[in-house]
Parts: sequence; structure tokens; C-alpha cells
Amino acid sequence: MSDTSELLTASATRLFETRLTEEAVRASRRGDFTADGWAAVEDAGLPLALLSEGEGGYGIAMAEALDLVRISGYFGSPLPLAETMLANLFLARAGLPLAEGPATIASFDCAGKAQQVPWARHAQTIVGIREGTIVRLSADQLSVRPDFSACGLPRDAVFLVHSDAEATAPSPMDVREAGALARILEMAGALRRVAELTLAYANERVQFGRPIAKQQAIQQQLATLASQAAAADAAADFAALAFGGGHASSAIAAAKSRAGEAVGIGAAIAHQVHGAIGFTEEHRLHLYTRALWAWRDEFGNEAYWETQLGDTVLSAGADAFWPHLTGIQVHATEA
Amino acid sequence: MRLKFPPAPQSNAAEELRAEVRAFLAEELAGVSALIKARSWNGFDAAFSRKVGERGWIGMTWPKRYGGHERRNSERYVVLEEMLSAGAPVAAHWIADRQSGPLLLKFGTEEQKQTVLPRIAAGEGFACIGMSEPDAGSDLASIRTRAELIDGGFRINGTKLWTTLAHHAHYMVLFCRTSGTPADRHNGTSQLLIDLSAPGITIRPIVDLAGEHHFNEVHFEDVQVPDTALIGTMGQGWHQVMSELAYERSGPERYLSSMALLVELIRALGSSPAREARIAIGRLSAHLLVLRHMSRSVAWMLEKGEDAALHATIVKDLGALFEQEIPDVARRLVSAEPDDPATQSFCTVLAYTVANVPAFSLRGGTREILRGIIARGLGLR
Repeated sequence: MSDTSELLTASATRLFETRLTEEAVRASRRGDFTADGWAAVEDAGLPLALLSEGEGGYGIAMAEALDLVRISGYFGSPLPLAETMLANLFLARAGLPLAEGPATIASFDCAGKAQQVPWARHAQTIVGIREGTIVRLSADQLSVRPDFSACGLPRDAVFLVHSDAEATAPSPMDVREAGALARILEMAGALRRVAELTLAYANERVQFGRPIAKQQAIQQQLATLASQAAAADAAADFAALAFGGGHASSAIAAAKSRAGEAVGIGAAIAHQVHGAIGFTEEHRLHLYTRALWAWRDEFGNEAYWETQLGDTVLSAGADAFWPHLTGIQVHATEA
Repeated sequence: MRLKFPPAPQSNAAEELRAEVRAFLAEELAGVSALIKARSWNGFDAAFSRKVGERGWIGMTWPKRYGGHERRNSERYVVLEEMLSAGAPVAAHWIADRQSGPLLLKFGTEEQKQTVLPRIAAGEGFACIGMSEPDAGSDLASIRTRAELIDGGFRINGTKLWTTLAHHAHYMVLFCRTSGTPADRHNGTSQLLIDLSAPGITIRPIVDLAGEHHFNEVHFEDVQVPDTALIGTMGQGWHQVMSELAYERSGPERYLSSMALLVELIRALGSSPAREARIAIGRLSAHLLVLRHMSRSVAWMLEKGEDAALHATIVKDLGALFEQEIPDVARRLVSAEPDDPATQSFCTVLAYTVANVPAFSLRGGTREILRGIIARGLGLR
């Protein structure tokens, strides 16, 4: 990892730990936006992390920059960091001016309506995609009808009211793939957090005169949870390293499927080990598990991406199965 | 608590090697049936192993002075995964290449290394693992096989069980007690290199669920071996055997055992598969891609000399789930009875794989033992 990446991930971690605590996460689940937290995110330069130096970024490897999204997930993603990072990437690749303030990406239909747009109500810049064309929009060109994701995060309907767009260009990449990539990384981060919370709880909670973590039945469950969290993390690496390359579609498909499955298994174990307290609004576990359940469905659930990947594999045929899969291979960014 | 699987770097040498191995296998396996390929690393063919040895693909990472080729672990990994995915009959050399050779390299005497390793690397010396016993399965420390110190060597009495390939192997790496009693647990155990032609050794076949003979019971009755048979340090057997198990758990054979069935499933699904089949194949492919990414990472960690035991254990546990699930997925996607001639290749491979999968979460450490190891890695035990 380069020095710049390390600095960036270290400052992001510190920022989330100190400025975006549980209170900010809970606020985000009511659709609220922690403005001073966002100011700190911008001060740290995080929204520009995916950009090359020429585009106004730091020129760090894409996969390393995407670690910020994983960190955001670990801390419950209380702000549109992933959305703004990707919006800037879309804008930069299309040669358009970068976002001002928090941003998001919206896919518009021919009637000028976009649904399920994360954080739209708080976005100052909206990257609109319409029939393969990208357009940079500001908040006053849109009307937003607030809605909520399955975990209470803002996920709104957006209507184009003024079509006098600032600038247009061909869309540089697929919105669903980019969105799926963000959710994969957030899932990897949040599932790791869930595993840590569960491990800590099992070590604290005493029943039958000793911590439940001493029970073999619980240990086997925790081992499974840790393994699934590791698999989701590896799947996220796989997708992040492939992003921007020739195998990105297949790698993202595989990772969204695998991470989504890990979430199902892992979150169920976390709740089982936490018992009744983990089923309460008061306990923080749901800030992560409900987000995980929402994210595994957003930008294509497992079945969607499995169909995509399955079709490419099946069209290659039985005898080309292994050569096809080994062709979808990623490497470390540096030796 | 982040169990990070570091991605391996790009290696052009490894990809060139992959093409070479594929060309070799295309020729060697031409006309071999899917059922034979389904044997995976249980398929035994001494002539094939000699050819692999001639190519320089056994003992690839070992020093040249012991018959090795001083290549990188990532290159060795390519050979392994290509052999397994193609269903090559690698059993003869597999165990020696994977663990007995590396164990000798790490703990063996100079004489052991010079006499045994070159034979293994040539694909001519086969080894088996003498760990399990009738009363010592997962609880390996309770072994009873005993090597008594006698003048100039050891006298061995006891029985080893589930010994894969003992009937073809030249050597056994025997884990036994050299002092104390089973109550002493890890203390007082040692490893000996046994020449299986020694008098007093009886090898009896055990036929498995699929009707095949891989397993054996190996009985030692007053078997005398010289003191040069000792591997490593007397009394350090437990420590050494744990290091051997790390090799045993780290490879791609821990998730590729049902590959032949997956390939036949794709063939049987034909050109216009139903939606549920497209989803199922996509899901299995996703698992395979991520497992392979994790497994290559373990190989890379080992190449860097890092401790990958916990990572390898996780890959083996996840890999066994995947391998075991494939027949269940397959039989729900193809409506056929096992004796239907129209889907014969698929059905014979399915029936064979169904009968083999119970072993996948037993061999090399049961699922429960592996999860216990992971729990220990999490600081729970």
C-alpha cells in the first residue's frame, strides 16, 4: 500500500471514530445528514480518492482508494461517501467538473424520473445517467421525493425539473456495477464490524457461570461468522482489484453474490449469539445488520448477479469452464 | 479482527507455465472418461506421476540438490490447480509432494533428504501419512502406536488406520509415541520415516463408500527400524505434525474435489438452461472465484514465508462446504435417474461424487476440528 493510501485510510478511520459516532449513524437511519461530519470528510479529501492526479485526486490505486468505502461500511456508512467518490469518478472520466458537496448518481428513465437514488435529498450535485449519457445536475434542477431504504437510509425518487443541464457526455461506466461495487465494500466492512461486536458480546455475556464464548456450540458459530466475514472481505478485494479492468463485470457479479450470501449467514449468527438484546432498537447491532440486509439487495441481489455470471459461464460451455474462470483473475496492485 | 487475504502479485512465469501444463494434460487425458476424472486426487497412475516428475512438476519449490527445481510456490500452485481441475490422476505423488517432502525438507536428516527427496521429485517415490489410529482420529494426541528405543534403533508396535495409498507407497511418515503414555498427550511423540518393505508390516485394504480401495489399515508388529529413521527431534513429534498439517490444509485440493461433476453439470444443462440453473451456476462460479482468490492468497503467504495456518483452515472449511454442495445443487437441476442412458456421463459422475462427498469434511481435519482451530485463532480457546 502506498504512503498516500495509508495516510488516507488512517485519517478516514480516525475521522469516523471521532466525528461520526453512533449518534451520526442513528441520524442517518432517519434520513438525516451530519453536516459537520461531512465537512470533516471533505477537509480530509476523501471524496476525491478515486481520481488520478490529473483529475484532481491523489493518483493512488483504485483498489486502495476503495478501502475508504470499506471503512465507511465498518462504521455504518452514516454519510454518502461511497456515492460521492463514485460520482466524482463518473464526472472526471466524462471530463465534467467535479461535484460540489455531497453527491450521488441517478439513472433516469425517459420521463425524467429516477428511483431508489441513495442520499438524493442531501446531494448538491447529482450525476444523472440517461440513455447512456451522463449529465451533471445541481440540486435546484431536480425535485426530490424522500423515501427510505430497508434500513432507513435516504433512498429517494428524483424528478428532473429543468433539463438545461450543465454539460453532457457519454456515460463512462455502468451505474449498477459501480453501485454494486460500493455495496460490496460496505458489506465487507460492516460484516467485519458485526463479527467483532458478536465476538466481544460472547466474551462478556455470562450464562451457566461462564462467558458464552466458552461454549463449544457458540465457538463453532463464531468460527463460521468469522469465516464468512473473511470471505466477504476477500470478495470485496477481488471486485475492487478488478474494477476498471476487463473482468470487472464478472468480478463484481461474483463478489456481490458471495458477499450477499456471507451477509445472510453471518448476520443470522450475530443475532443468534446476541440473543434478545440484539433484537432491540436500543442495541447497536441492527445499525449494521439491517444495513447489511438492505445492501445485499441494492444494485442487484444475489440472484440478479448470479444470473449475469451464470450466463457468461454457460455460454463459454463445459470444456471452457475452468479456462474461463481462471481468466477472471486479479493481482496485487504492487508486488 | 480483520482476516485479510493478501492478493498475489502478477506472475508471467506462472501464466506461461499454465499454458504448458494445459497442453501436457490435453495430451495425457485425451479420451479419459468423466468418471475417471471425477476421482480427482484419489486417481492413481504411477506412469502418469513419473511423467509429471520428468516435467519437473513435483518438488517444484525444493532445492535442486535434492532433486527439486527451486521454483516459486505460486508456480507450483498453478500446476496443482490445473491438474485438479482437469481431473488428472495425481494420487501417487500427491501426498509426498504436498506434505511428506516438505516435512523432510524442514526436519529431516541430510541422509533422509538425499535419499528420499530426489525419488519423490522424480515421481518414483510415493509416501503415505501415518497419523490416524483406531482410537485416535480427531484426538490425534491419543495415539498408541509405540516406537521403543532399542540398541541402534526402534521397535514399533501398533496400528495405523485410514492410511491412504499405503498399498502403493514406499514410505510412511509415522507419528508415534517414543516415551510416556497417551495421558502425556503432546509430550513424548516423534516422527519416523518408515520403509514400508520392512518385515513385520501388514497392510490390509479398506474399501470405501464408492467401492474403491484408497484406505488401508497398517499394522506394525515388532518392526525394527534404524535410529536414522528419526525425523527431526525426539519428543517433538506433535510440533512437527502440526506443521505438516498446515501443508495438508493449504492447497487447492480443498475446494476442487467436485470439479468433474460441475463440468458435467454444465454440459448436461445444454444450450438453453432454465433460470434456476443460470442462477445456480452463477452462484457456484462466484463461490469458486472467491475461494480461488483466497486459496491463491494462502499460496502467496506461504511463498513469503508467512504463517498461513489460520487462513488455510478457513479456506479448507469453506472449500469443503462448496465441494459437498455441488452434488446437491446438480441433482436438483437435472431431472434424471442414475441409470438413464441419455445422461449417462452426468449420472455416473453424480452417483460417484455423492458417495465421496462425506469424506470432504472429514479428511485432513474434520469440520468441527477446523472450526475449533478458527475459534482458537479468534482467541476463544
